[in-house]
Amino acid sequence: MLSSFDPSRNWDPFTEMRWLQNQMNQFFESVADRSSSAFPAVNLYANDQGLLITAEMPGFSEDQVELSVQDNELVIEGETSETNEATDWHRKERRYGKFVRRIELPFRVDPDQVDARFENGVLEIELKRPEEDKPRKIPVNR
Amino acid sequence: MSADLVRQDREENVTRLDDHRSVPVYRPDTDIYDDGDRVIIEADLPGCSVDDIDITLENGVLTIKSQQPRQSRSGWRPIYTEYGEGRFERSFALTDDIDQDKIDASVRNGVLRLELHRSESTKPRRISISAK
Repeated sequence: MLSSFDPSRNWDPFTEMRWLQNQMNQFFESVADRSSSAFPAVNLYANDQGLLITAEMPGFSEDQVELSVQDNELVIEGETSETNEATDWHRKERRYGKFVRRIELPFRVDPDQVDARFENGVLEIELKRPEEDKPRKIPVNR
Repeated sequence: MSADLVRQDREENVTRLDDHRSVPVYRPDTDIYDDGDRVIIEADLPGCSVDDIDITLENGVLTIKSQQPRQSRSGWRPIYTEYGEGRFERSFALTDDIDQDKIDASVRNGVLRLELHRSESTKPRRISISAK
């Protein structure tokens, strides 16, 4: 280690500082990107009949969200606006604005059989598989 | 000998998962702002209704806690998970100018709204300057 220290070489502490700064910026950018890209966060459940998708959307109501289904893609989009009378902000962590979330579904669903409901800020979407796609039990003959 | 260590009563010896499973605790995203007369706190508690939320005030610290919302997902198997479900908890230290007897709370669409009124004596007063 000591041998690598050569005072004749032009060691610039600022170069190293800048490198560190760059690394830090990249790190924080990647963290910020991840959190902003996925709104709303969703969970998917499945059974033989279809799919259940739940999304955490506190503060949203039915008329602020639009759903569309095509083949095996579900699109959730909407907008919330700030409706407060703030004169001074102390903390701002909740989300406002427009969003679009596209979710690839694991199988085809019937676009005519979509049942969506909001309960306490959680959106629940139930999607049915087309009748001909549902898994069938095949009896084993003796 | 070792068999004696195991209780023979079958019912007593069953480990109930529901009782022992630790529930994750999340910190709700919160907006705090001033509207002149009041301080407004709005906290995201998705899935929670009035009955799930507990608000306590102790020694100038306001704490909001929620029970884990009961959801019936029986018959469904999870295939993809982006968010966890659990309890919410967060505390806020109140400043001296907040009237601790005058806090209004309401819940709408999974958002808890607290309105903290300023005590009369600490409200900013306009002092007029008289022209000479």
